Amino acid sequence: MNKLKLLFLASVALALNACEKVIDIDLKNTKPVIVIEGNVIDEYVAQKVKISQTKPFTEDNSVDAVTNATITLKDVTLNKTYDFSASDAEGNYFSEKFKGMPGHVYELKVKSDNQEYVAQSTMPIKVPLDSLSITEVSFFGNTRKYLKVNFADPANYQNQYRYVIRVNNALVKGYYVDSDRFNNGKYIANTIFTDEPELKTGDTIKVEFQCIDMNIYRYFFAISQISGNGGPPTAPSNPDSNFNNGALGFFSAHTSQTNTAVIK
Amino acid sequence: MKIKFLRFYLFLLLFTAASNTIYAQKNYVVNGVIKDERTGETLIGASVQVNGISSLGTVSNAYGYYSLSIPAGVYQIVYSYVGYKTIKKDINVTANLTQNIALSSANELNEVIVTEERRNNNVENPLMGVQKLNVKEINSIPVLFGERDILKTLQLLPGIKSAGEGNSGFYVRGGSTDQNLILLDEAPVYNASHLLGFFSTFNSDAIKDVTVYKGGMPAQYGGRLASVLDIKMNDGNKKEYTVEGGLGLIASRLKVEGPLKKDKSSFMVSGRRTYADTFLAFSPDTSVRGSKLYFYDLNAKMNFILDSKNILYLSGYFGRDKLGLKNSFGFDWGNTTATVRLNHLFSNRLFSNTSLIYSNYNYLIESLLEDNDFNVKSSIKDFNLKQDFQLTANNAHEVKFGLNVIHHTISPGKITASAASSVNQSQIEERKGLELAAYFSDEYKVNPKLSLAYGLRLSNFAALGSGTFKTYDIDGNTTGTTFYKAGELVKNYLNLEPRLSAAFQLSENKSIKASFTRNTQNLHLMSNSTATSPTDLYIMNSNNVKPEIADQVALGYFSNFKNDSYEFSSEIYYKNMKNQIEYRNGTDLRGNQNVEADLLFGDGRAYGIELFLKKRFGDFNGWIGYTLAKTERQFAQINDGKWFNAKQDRTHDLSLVGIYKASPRWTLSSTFVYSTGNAVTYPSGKYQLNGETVFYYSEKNGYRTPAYHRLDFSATLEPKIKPNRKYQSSWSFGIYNVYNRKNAFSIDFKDDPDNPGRTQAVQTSLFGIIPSVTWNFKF
Repeated sequence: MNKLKLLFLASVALALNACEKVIDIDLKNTKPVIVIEGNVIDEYVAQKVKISQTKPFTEDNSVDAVTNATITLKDVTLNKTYDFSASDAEGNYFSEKFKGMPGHVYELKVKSDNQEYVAQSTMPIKVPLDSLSITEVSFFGNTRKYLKVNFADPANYQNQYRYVIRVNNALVKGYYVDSDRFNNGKYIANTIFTDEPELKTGDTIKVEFQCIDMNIYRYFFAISQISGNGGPPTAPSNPDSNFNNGALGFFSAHTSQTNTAVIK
Repeated sequence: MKIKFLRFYLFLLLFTAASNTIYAQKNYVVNGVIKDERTGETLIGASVQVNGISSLGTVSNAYGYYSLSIPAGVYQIVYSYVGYKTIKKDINVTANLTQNIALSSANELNEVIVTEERRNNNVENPLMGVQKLNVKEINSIPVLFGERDILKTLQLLPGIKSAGEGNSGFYVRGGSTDQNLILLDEAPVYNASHLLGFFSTFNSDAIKDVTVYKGGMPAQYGGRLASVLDIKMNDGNKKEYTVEGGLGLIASRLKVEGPLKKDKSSFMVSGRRTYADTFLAFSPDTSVRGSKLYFYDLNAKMNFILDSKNILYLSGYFGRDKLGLKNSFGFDWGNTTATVRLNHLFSNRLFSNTSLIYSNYNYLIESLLEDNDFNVKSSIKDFNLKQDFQLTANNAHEVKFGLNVIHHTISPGKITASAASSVNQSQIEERKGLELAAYFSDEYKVNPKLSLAYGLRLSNFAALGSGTFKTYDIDGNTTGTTFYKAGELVKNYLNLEPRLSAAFQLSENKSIKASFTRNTQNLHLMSNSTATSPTDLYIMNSNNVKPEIADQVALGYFSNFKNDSYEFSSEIYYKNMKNQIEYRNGTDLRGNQNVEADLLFGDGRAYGIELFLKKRFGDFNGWIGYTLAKTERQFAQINDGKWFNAKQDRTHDLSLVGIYKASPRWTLSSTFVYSTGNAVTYPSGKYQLNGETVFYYSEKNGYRTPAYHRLDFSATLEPKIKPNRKYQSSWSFGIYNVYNRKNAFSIDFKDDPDNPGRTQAVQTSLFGIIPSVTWNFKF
């Protein structure tokens, strides 16, 4: 019986020891496609639009900037347009300084290589982030610290949130979005199951808490699903952008609040 | 609607009565039940053949019953069944005759059986795309962890492909896993897998017969597009008590069966449980000790021979998986089925079976996290009434007809939570539907060369209230909302499903066959992930979701040779599918009240050729199966509306199975599988978004994972045969993936952790080489 047990343990170890290896795949390359990342936030700042294009998988991760685009940003609610500067070398375009207003509809037009790309986004109402805290969760004997975000979700609105997390000033990979469909109107204490890095005492955590519109929620949710989000991963595809004419990326008018905590 | 059905039914009854009077004058009926002599188990598909007259013959039905109409005269009738000694009976037919037969087991599968028996049923039978699995074969074929498994053995047949490494899900002729109708004693099983797909819910100890239809399904089956897998449980030994069991690495099994009243009634109870979790109890860590990880199965059956005309069967299945982390998370799921059946002989020509079936699949998720406690319950529940008739009109016709009513209730999700939880209590509306089907089929021997099986199935689905039903436009925006009262008709769909197949004998052991089949499907499994999950939900037809429809044509060549010890078949098929389902990007299927807004509808097509060569008898037997196939889908909103490879598309699929009786005690077996890699989507570029690498995809399923291949090996040591000893034990040894092939389970693209400025492709492999050992006993 002892032998049997040993054999069993050996098999389980073999079976569960799923192995990973880096492989070479000959990937097709396509014509570069424009990527637009536009944001309007509820702070008095120069709002930023970043334009780049796709590049082959085998190249490095540097940004292939698009610097010759023309940008028009309009507050549709006020029927007011904002001017943008010319691009810097990284493909960043900045507006004149203004503060985005919750409830306003914004429209971003980008013209590049004789093609126009248009997207609209509505800035949702602002929900204040109450606090950050830390909780410990145990998985099969392995206890880890996880971040919790605490806030009161308003009952009269459908809300979507995005958390941009930095640990010791390094961005945590992955897109973390939430909606209130299971907890509308509740005081929410959400545990965020980040993978890397493991949180330790003394780490400084900085969370930018964004209230985003539905299209942007679905956009980031779609990306996070490809790598598995609370379930088996979905087949990969490009997330639905709110830009027309095949542009990748998104235009998001959102509120922004940043809280910082140090893990004790 | 209901009245129409009644009329149809009456018509069938009248037809029955008429045919009785027409033919009864010149023919007499020989009928009876064919059983195993030792156990009293009825034998399904046993051959009954009048010696020397090939047109006079039949096979026993799912209850071992046969009925043969023959003119008065003196005959020799040959009763035979694979693995059993053939019996010949000389009879003088001067009146109707009941002839119950007990065949004795030939002990070994490979024992050569007498020559005159009817072994050409595969050639003569007009049905095509049918394959039967022999339980003895299943038990000697190696599988993962040494757990013998019907569904994994099935995947070694041509046209049937595995849904993934070690996975019991399967694809038939380009269909998805939910397009297989899996019946256990006539009860549909909604989720046929344990432990995330690595084991099937069918404990082969409890199984008597497995038949799979890949196309050309007889009209009595309906409700799924791709295949029917008809599994029958053992009835239980009517002669004596036996106990059988096994200890394996993963699970232990125990089966007890015996007579309740000798030769009149019997019972069978078979159980199986995994014990990975018992080792958790030894862990020093308390949170591990409180964790759960196991599954179990319980099959139970009783049958009662009430009198010479009535037999009553009760059978049930109960299985459950339990996963749990102490104080944080719990997840369990499982199927329950219960079947009550009554066989009744209205006359020696008219056999009837009435089934009342209950089927339930449900899951429960519990979160115990502080501030966030909740549980989610979801279920699909069926009440099902089936009335089947089998009529022996004359020796040229075998008529079947019947009715089927299924009431479905789907509860997509009910969330309960404590007052302190940040989760709201909620419930997604239940959905109810009524499926009504009526069918008629006839197996008709037109002449000694040509036989036909034709039939028609009428399938009606009614989506019923109560509830709020929405309609959506092509972009998923709500265009209408209507509330329906309980029982109110929301939407009705009626489909006619013609079934036709024909066999033309080129010679005694060669034939060509052709078939046309239409199938429809009213229940659809929602799954937008690359693997199936126990939480995948079924939805029914509605205003937006229409019945899936598949039309399949197939042509085949069938031949037996070398004194029938070899069997060869080749089938070509083309299948056209309508109203197939895909999902919008970013669809969240969990607890989604408006899930239909996220569905996309399109077409599918599948075509291919299947080759099958089997050696049926001898010390060495086994088969080679090869499939060359293509499966595609087309959706207006996916891949720019162009056809793309479905995820189940695999160009080549090869299986080799060999079983060798090396000595009276040792049986060696081996399988080899090779298949083209899965159709997958890989990036054709990348970009930076908010400081992270995101991949750009240009065509759906335009790439292939590396080819899959694997060799397995198994050896069984039988005990020395001691005639007076009832206790027997045997050992099975197995090696899965003998040459330790690293098959791709998934391929992910990500930043290189050692060089964040670059990206890389990483392949994950699941199972390397895995040895196994199982000890089996019987007394």
